[in-house]
Amino acid sequence: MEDGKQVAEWFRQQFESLRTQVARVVVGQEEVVENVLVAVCAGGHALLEGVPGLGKTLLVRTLAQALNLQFSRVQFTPDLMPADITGTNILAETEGGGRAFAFRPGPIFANIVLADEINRATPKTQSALLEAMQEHAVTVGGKRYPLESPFWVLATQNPIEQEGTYPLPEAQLDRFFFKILVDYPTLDELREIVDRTTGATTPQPEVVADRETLLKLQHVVREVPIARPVQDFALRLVVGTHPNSPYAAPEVNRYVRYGSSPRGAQTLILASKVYGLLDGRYNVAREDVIRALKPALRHRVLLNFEAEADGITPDALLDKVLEHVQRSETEPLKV
Amino acid sequence: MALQVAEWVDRLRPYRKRVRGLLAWRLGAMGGTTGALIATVLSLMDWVGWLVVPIYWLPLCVVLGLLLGVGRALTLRIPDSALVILIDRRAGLKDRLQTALEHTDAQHLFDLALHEDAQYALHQADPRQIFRYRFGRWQGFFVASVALMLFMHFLPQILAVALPERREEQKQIQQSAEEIKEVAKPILEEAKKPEADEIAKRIAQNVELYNKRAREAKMDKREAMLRYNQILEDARKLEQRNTQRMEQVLNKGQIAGEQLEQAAQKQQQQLSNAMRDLQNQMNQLQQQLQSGKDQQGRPLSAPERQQLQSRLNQLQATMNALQNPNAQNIQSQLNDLDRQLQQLQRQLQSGKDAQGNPLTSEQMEQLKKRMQELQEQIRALKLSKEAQEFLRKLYNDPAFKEAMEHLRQLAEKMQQKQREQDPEKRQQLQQDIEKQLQELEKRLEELAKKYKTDEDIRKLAEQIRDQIKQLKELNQCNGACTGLGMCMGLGMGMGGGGTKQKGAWDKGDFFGQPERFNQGEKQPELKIPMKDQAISGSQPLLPGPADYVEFEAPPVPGGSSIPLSRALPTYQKKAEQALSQQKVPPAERQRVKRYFESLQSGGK
Repeated sequence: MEDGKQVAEWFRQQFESLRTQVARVVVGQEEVVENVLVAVCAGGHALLEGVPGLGKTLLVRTLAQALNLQFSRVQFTPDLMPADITGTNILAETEGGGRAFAFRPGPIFANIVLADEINRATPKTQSALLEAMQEHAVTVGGKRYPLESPFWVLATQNPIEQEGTYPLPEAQLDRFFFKILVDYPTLDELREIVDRTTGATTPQPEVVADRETLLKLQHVVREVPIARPVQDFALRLVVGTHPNSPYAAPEVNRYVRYGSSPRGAQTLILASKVYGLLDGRYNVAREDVIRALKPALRHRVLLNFEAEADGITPDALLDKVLEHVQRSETEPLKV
Repeated sequence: MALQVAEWVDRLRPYRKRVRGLLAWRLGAMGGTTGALIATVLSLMDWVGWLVVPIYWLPLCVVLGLLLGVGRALTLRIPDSALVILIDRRAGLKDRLQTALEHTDAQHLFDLALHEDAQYALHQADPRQIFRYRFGRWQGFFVASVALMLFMHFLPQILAVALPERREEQKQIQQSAEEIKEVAKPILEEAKKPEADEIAKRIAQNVELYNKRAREAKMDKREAMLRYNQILEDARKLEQRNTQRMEQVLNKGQIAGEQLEQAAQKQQQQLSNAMRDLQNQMNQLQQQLQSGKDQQGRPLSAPERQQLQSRLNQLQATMNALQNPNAQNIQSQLNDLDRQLQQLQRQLQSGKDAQGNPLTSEQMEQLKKRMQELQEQIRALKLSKEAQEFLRKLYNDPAFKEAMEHLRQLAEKMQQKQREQDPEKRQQLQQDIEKQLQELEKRLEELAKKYKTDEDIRKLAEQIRDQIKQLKELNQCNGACTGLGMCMGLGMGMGGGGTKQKGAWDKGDFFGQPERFNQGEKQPELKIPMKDQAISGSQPLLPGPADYVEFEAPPVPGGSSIPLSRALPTYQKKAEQALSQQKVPPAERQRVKRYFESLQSGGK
């Protein structure tokens, strides 16, 4: 049996080297980078949301370069068709001079797929990603084509410019492991960005991990143990997003239309495990769960009209959920 | 190497000990707070009078609450899982211990590393640092509730010290309580006995309660009056009951004495009758011997004369034995008579005389008559010497006669006391009964001493003396009951209960008159014939018309009970106060001064 300490140390080193490589190109956005890497280590897809020009695409592209994996980028537009993503059967000449339909894979057949401005495509095209994201396979012309592991979809979307966009449906959102909000850089970060991008040379990331390494990272994450009370805490948080549940805060009952699906719970636990390892531990703590709460559940909590009218954001609501669950959590012994 | 559960338990022991200590610290404070709050409520109820709460109940409640809390903490089960959660949270171990304790099988990749990590973290932690004894919320509650309890308990006494009018009132109540206790001492002693009367027990209880509430300054005037009246009512009931019992005991004594007297008379009468019969027979025999003829007038033969002489001698001997009751004499005489009786019986049965001659029917009749005579003599002799002596002595003894006389007088006095309503006369009668009892006891002691060798009389005297002792005890109780009716007036300087003094609570107070309390009646007016009489003092010396009218004071029946030397300073002081406060008109100021000066010189 491998030594857990060494494995954990190796995991942290790999994670750090990836982060370092990304940081060579992407200035600041440490939390965003970390969350993207957490999603990658957990084997989940990530949705990055932010105004244009904040480096979302650059981040994903840099990551793909550092990982030495097959990378494809799809710019989503309203006229993009599902076949443009999944691939299609074409009539091709055979060696014998005959003609037969042959499957030409689309950009989805890569290890890392950057779905840029995913909300610009029509729902039909967006839904083409559903099967690929969940089952790591696509079906074209009645034939199922598996995708090579590891497979990640890292999508970006712009919260503004709502005209001509198609908000992702709930089912589609639920497939994303994390929804990561990308904020403006600080003044220092902006200065650094300007320095790096207006100079003569542009830094390039080195390849620090290959396919096997990433698969092993994903495996290691799943080995991290979690105590039953901690797991219950995570599950109470998830159930706490459900309106009228026993753990729901009054704000949830008022503002939430639909709460998180079981995928939210899976995401929360997996992400917590990564955070636990990154923290130098071999277990999941409540702090890890709390850290994973917002990126894991913010896109899984669907607010009603009243929330939007009152300016309530999913993050604010999740804060209430956390507060409520923590308050309701009694100590087993009051001393 | 991953630790097993048992090893974990071992490592967690100091933490468990510490947590138990903290639990005891917290639950003890909670229990103590509850106890103190209960004690506060009890104290409040005691003050209001809804409940009688002995002082020791208050700390008892607190200590009991504390002990219950600590006991609960010591017996509470502390599961390992709960303990490690606590340690994780308090020491900031980020759920390491919980996870490690759940994964003791070492089958997963990180189990060993996790255990090492958890052990290290646990090793770094200090139970005393993690679980500190702090003065927290519950400890604060405990201190506050104990302070509240103490405040509630001592509030009446604080008020009694802080408010002057209440201070005065409580002082009077406390004085009265002490007096009641002093007066009721015999009843309190009586109530301690297991066979004590229920009413006596109730009085003792009420007196104790009165004292307790007075001591703790928890009574106001009104309550003091009500409680006193309750005690008094019970005292009256007890007095009535004791009087009845005394009468019963006395009756028994009297009946015993009378029966003894009657028996003595009857036996004396029987003895006299027997002696008179013997004397008659002797006279007849002497007449026959002197005349030489029998009862039918026939001349007596020589043997007949001899026989008559022999009978006469025998009767004489019996008479002598009766007149000189001496055990030896009586016994020999009885033996002699018995022998003769047996001889006669034999003759009568055989039908032949002593010489063997057949008896005629006439002789048989004579024999029967003779036997009857002998039997009468034997019966007279059998009124034994001791009995005769005992009755004679007792009946003729002046001490016994006096004792009987005292018993009779006692019965009379008690009946008289029962009829009497005036408390003073009742008190007088009570004292008389006491004297009678003392006299009676003396007589009985005298009798017992005089007849200390005479078992029967000694026993009788002791029996009566015991009854008298019982009577004395009952009488003492009754004395206390009667005394209770008077003590409030003395103690508080109040108008009721047979005192003539008039004190601070004179208006509307009906101590000793429960039937009149709170009925809105006026105090009874004195129906004493009044006579105008000039009061002593000088006439005004100031010129000009006098703007006052002199009233002549009514005489005080029986004279004043307070000497002038004691009463004068009080009145003089009041007069001085009135003068200094401008309450006396200017024209009268000199007059008042002179009046008191004259009294002072008169007093000297």
